[in-house]
Amino acid sequence: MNRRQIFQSLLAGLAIPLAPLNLARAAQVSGRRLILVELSGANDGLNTVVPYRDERYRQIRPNISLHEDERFTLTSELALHASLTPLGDAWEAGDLAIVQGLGYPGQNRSHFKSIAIWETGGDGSQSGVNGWLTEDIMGMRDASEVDAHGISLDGGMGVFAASSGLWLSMTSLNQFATLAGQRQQAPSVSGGDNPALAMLLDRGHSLDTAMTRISAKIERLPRSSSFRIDAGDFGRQAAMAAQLIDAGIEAPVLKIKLDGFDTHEAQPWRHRDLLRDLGRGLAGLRQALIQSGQWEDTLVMTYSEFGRRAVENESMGTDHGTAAPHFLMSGGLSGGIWGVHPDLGNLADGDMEFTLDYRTMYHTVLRDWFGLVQNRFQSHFDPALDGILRS
Amino acid sequence: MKSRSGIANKINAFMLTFILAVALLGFPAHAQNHDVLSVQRGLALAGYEPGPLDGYWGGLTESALSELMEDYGIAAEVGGPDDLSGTVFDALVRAFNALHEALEADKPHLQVALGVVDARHLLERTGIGAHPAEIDRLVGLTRSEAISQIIAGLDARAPLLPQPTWVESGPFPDYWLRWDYEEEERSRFRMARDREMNQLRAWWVDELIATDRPQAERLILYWHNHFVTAYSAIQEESHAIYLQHQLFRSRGHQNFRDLVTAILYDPAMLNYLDNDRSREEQPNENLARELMELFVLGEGNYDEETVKEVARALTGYGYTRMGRMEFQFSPWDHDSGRKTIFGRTGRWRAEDVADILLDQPEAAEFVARKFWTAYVSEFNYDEEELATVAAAFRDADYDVKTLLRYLLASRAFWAEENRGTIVKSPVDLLIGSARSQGRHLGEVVSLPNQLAALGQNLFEPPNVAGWPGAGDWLTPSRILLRNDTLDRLADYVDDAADQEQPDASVAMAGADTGSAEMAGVDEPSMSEGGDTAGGTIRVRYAAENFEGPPIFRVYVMRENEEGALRTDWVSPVVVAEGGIDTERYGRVMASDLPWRETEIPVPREIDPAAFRVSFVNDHCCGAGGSDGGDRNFYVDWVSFDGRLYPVSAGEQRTSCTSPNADREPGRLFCNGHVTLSEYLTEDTEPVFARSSDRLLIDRVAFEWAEEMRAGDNWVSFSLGVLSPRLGSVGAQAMKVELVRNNTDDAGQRLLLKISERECYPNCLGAPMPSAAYTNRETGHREMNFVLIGREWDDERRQWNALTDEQRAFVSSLWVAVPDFIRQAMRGRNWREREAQRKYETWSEWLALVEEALPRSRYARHAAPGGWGMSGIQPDANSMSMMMSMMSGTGAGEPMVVAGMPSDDARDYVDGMAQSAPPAQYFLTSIAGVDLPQVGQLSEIFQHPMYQLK
Repeated sequence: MNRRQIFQSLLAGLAIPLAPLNLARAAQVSGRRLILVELSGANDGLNTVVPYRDERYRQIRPNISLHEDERFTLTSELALHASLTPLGDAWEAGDLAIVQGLGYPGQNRSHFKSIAIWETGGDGSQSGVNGWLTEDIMGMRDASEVDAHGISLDGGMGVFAASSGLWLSMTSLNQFATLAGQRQQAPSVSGGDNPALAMLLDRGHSLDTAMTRISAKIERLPRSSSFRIDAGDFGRQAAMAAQLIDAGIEAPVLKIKLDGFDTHEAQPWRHRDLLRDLGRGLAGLRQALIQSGQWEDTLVMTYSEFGRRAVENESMGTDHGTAAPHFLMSGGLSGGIWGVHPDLGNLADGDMEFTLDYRTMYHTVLRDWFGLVQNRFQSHFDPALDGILRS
Repeated sequence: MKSRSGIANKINAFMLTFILAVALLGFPAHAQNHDVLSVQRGLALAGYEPGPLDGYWGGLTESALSELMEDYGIAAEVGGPDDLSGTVFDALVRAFNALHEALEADKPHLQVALGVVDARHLLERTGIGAHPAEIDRLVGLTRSEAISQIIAGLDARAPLLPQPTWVESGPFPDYWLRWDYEEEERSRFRMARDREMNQLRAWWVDELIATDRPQAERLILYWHNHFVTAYSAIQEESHAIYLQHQLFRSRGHQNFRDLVTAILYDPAMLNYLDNDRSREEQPNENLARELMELFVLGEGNYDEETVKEVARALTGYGYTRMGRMEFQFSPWDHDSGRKTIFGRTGRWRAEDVADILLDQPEAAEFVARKFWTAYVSEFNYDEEELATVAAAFRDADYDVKTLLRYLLASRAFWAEENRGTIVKSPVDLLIGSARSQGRHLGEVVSLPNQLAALGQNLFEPPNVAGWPGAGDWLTPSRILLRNDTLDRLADYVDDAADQEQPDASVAMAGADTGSAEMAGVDEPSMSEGGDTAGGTIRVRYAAENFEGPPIFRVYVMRENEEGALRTDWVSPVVVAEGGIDTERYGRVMASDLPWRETEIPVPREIDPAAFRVSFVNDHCCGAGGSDGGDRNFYVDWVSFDGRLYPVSAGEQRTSCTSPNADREPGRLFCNGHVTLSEYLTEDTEPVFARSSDRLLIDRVAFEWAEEMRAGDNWVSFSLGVLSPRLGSVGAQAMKVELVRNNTDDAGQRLLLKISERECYPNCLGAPMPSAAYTNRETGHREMNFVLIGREWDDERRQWNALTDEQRAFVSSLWVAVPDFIRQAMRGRNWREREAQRKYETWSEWLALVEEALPRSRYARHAAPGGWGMSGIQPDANSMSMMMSMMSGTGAGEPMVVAGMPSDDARDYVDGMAQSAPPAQYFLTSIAGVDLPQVGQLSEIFQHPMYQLK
């Protein structure tokens, strides 16, 4: 470790104190849940939430800027991509909040590095090992109180990376029901000093416990409750999330994913189709949760590895960039536009400067949604998002 | 064994082109002859003195080599680069190993004689699983000697099993024109490529099981996960994936420096990381960044400024898709300015970048650490030993076998605490099980599909970082699937071990041919004795199971006098095999369907007008709708008597209520049938008509155009033409460029330009005459044919140098240009590349062209019959599909497992099983975990240690 590294780790220690979790438990709000929506590949923020009045928008994007018939106006400044029209109801009802200009210092432009940063709450100089909310959620709810701490419905477990806890992946609804009880008892051995074996046994054990509980609940799900959301595989995941909630499965976090946002080329067509699935999927999810009475207790949050470069490239696309807006949706929030749009007149190498550290959003979610006043990100407090969530 | 030819030769041709390109473009001339360079390196690494490592054959190299051959008593005349055979390379490796065995003589931990435990450890880490016969062969050798055995087999050589035929077929599919296809044609094209990938995947799985050089395949797998490329991320360019695979196969065991350079020329990589459209004005940083982060240096060992500089050096590195797929450098897109990379400033190109990066001390450490994770431990790292390995790797100028030799010779590799500290990948688990059990488990699970389900779909790593391994193989879903799969394997192995002669009605026919046994349900027996007097119907199908598999029947239809189809014969019920249980595993992605083939004997003569495949037992659904489980049936094709009936031309009727349900024939989601009356035969050759009085083409599409601006001196409008031909002149692929040229002394000119770079195999049926221009930047020949304005003397000479036929060809092309543009307007490129807007800026000039052409020399020389599109013919996509379908139905190769005939491989294990095999043949033992007494082989599958290696 050289001097610089030592300095950094000291800083890191200051920045991320371990929250005294026992104290935090008093204020927490149980029964609420968060649905994380990963826009994998890096969503282009500028063509999602469009500053259509800004002449510079058309200047930096002569070929791929959205025309009037390709937009859906929200305010006198901003419009959504027309593919997101299905979110109009949520917007009208005040169930949709847009947080602008999210990013972090020292932007890393590699997909997997930067998604790992978002997943673990790091920044350009450090990425963590554990998922950003795993420790706080485990502190909030003991494994015995939940069916799972989190369930990923897309197979991806990065955001749930944790050395312990019940973080599950479930890619079809019946997976656990049909597999529970079928497993033959493995010969009992102990891990000893072998780290690989210890991990294997630990994971097998947590899984058995959770499966038994979850499968029992899914079996009670009435067959007629099955429904579809017409948004491709994303719709399938969204529908599954709604069904898990309907079945009464206790899991503070669910995770779904829409993949394919790496639009280096042919963006107008590809992005249009992706956002259509996103809009339909989220609108369908909202409808389902309103029907089952769970919408007030559910918060949907999008995230992505980074935004895309403000200046378009030569292939009708955009390259890896920096800041981007994200969506929060719930029956329990104050909808509207939050934060400040990055200044298109102040681009650095064709990139927007972020206006809000994404960890402020994490902090706000942990503090106001889950009532975890003391959490991993409290040093990122910023009044910009105060009041966005009803605590 | 079948020799590799076709594309394998193209690879050689590719390397040759590379060398030529190097010579022509003035790249550093270190690759004069790659084989010679390899020999020189090999000599140096074995302690001989070949003179400078320059790739030139000379006296020093020759004498060093003959000295070595003499030392090892190998008789082979080597008088020059042409004599460098496998014998020579084997001798070099032998000498290398001998040198290292001597160096290792004073290391006690390497002089231990191998027992079963050590031998299995070495094999599982360097290969895939370990067959007891492979283990027994190593027992008794010292560790040092055993390492030599591994190193000696790192060269993959020719595969044991023949690769799919499409890799050897003539011209590549029309990748370059596919963007012009409308959606339906695109989707057919995509399906054909997907099918090829599935074949390649299935072949590799079989090869992994069969190979007698598992260490070579392990190394190829390693590179696949180091220089990552995913098929689905490169717009279905299956041929590019194949070329990359062959690169690892032929070069992966040699030198990392060469591999890094070669990967910067690799079409699949250039596509995957977007470098193929990286240009000076807008460099794309993707390849530059991953090159440093994941391929050579590692995160944190470079800064963003370096990424930008390296990206500049890589601009213009792309590839052509015309007729073939190979590296192409575009000088005008390359930023030839000075770049500063790690403190060194110069007009760097990709080749220099590779050298500069490899001069960084972090490079060897980074690559050594990645190999450590793959070969020594995913959990424990010994920094001191890692540094030693890295130093040796660097000192050997990045020789891959040196790296491996030092890793395997490290204390850590053999240390107790590192045994069982790598989580078996799905390949280790499934292919390893097949190899160690001596059984091709394709009979019980569809291996490529099962690999995908467990998270390791070959040629589809999840992202450019590859499969992370370790805990990622043990996510909850994957744990469940792993256990379930192991249970199924255990049952199968137990059953099979109970039966000396597997009953034909239980065991399936050779899975290596992809065929499946069918169970007669309401007919007595359908075994080999079946009456085939009328021939055999083959059906390719896939199943999704829900509370049991789909069953189907095949109807032979004939026409009655009114021309209506009537049933002539009905097959017995066939139970679909190999289906995925959708209740457990969810629905299957269309590209992952587990396709099978089955044969249905027909007992009497038939004269089919059509076949009908009928799905009779639809069943739906589990909780959660069809996603909770659904029984579906898929048909791909039926073949009979040399005819192939593709389902895409079929008519489908099912009881599904959705209006779209029958739109894609072959996907039966409800009871119903699909009727196939259209077929292809092997002699449905593409009608490659030729005419000497008419220019024929297969297709024309808009390529690109510049906006006509008065001030620009050189403005062009470019069209792609597929297979233009007239008489004996023609090309398979050709771009023609309409150019408006402003000159100082002669005013405005309008001409048609053709370039060898933009034609395949060439523009005029022969290389261009020497009168042609040579492009100063690319070295390619080009010709201009002026229509309006003054013709330069050079251009006149070019015209005069053409043969009469060539003149007619060029003239016919010229005369057809206005028609070509009108034709191209119908294509998709026209719409999606904003051609209309640009076309409009050209309209005045195009009017002049139409006016000038009839009065020009081109009108006089053009073919009298004008031009035409080739008549309706089975398009190339159907043809290649046809070829691959037919090829899949051939007689299977004899099954081989771990380099042995499968019977021998199985008997070896069964023989051991009768005397209760010691568990250490199959399981890693670690302190604190007792290995079971093995009563039945299956017990080892359920032991937790079976998940680790």
